[in-house]
Amino acid sequence: MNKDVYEIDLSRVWELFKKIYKRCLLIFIVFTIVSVVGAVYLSKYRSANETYFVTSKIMVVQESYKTDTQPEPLFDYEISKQFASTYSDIINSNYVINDIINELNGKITIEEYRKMVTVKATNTSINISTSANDLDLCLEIANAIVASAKTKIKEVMKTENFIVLDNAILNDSTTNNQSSLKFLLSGPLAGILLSIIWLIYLIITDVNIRTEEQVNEIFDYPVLGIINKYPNYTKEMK
Amino acid sequence: MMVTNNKQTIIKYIYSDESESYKKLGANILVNVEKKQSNIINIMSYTENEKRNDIVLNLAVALSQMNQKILIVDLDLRNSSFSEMLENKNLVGISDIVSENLKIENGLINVMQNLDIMLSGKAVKDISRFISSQKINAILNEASKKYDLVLVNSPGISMFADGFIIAEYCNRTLLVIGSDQNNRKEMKRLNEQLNQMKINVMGIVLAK
Repeated sequence: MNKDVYEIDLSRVWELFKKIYKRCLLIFIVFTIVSVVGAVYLSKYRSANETYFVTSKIMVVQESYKTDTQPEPLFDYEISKQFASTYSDIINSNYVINDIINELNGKITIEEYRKMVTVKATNTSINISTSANDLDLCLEIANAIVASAKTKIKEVMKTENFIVLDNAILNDSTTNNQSSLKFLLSGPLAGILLSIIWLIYLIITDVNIRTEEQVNEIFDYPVLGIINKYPNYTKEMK
Repeated sequence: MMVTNNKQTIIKYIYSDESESYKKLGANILVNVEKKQSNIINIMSYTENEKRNDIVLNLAVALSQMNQKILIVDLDLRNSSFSEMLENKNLVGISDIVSENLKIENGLINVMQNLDIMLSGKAVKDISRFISSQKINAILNEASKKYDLVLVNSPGISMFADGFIIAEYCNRTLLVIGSDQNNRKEMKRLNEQLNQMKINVMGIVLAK
């Protein structure tokens, strides 16, 4: 027989599986229970600590000045970009923030506001992101920011070259549910995987003598008899 | 207090389902014994888990049914099961015969027609020394004259050398290998050891 060829006897694999299937089933059940408990805990914990994200968007539309070569005004991208940057600074200023806090009747402090709100200018747009554990508060803050921004920018810049694209959009938070589902599925899958690894380990390390041929290969003595049924009187004795 | 050995029953430990396998094994042994003119057979296994006692008993039953007068001598003093089979631990055994200079007949227990058992007897302190004593050899030789075959049940050889010492007294050794109980590496080493020690192994019984 070629020693490089490793033969797998499927009947032997089945025998080994029969040997360990009860313990495999136990592993599967334990992992499944752990994952179900984990997923339930995770979903409850997360719903208690759910963070809502609301985004608002303001776009600056600054037209170019009339010239001899360009009698009709056109959208000026570069100037709009600069305006967007300036407006985001205004929205981030204490002047505007104090106004927003007043609008909210002091429901949050300035420090809390700064942790909850991010204002960022991207090209000609200003993206305002608000996060909070309370959805109503989150929406209230987002609406207050847009309202205050509209008033204060007009007041400071004496211009109205911007439009509010989105007042307050609630972002979809399905990722939490997905991670709970993943956790729920990971238990049974881990159980199956562990059982398969165990079976493979048994197949690889299965070096026990079982057949007459194997006995003949190893020993210099003949096999005089094979007793197929292995009696076990000790059970009877108990 | 010791009780007088009398007829005991072990019928519930005899397995009729595999009686043909045992008869075949018995016939092979008889052919081998006739060729070599030897009638003391040491039956040993590598570990204690190979249910050697069952095989010794059922083989003895099969041989006795083939009109052979059989004696089982239990020399597994470390883990004897035959006294438990007979449910009486106070019966006279080989250790009592040796220590109290009793006659061999005092230790014979008839369990069925053509089949007697000599138990291991009371516990012995230095087992290896006890087994090495010439008295054991003398008892076996005496028994071999009265029986067609003497089957000696000796302990597993993976832990103790008792089986090898007993093999010295016996003309032949029968090795019991439990299927799926021993790995190839250990068995190769055992084969080399048996060859080196020049143990006269008549053959192997594969117990599945």
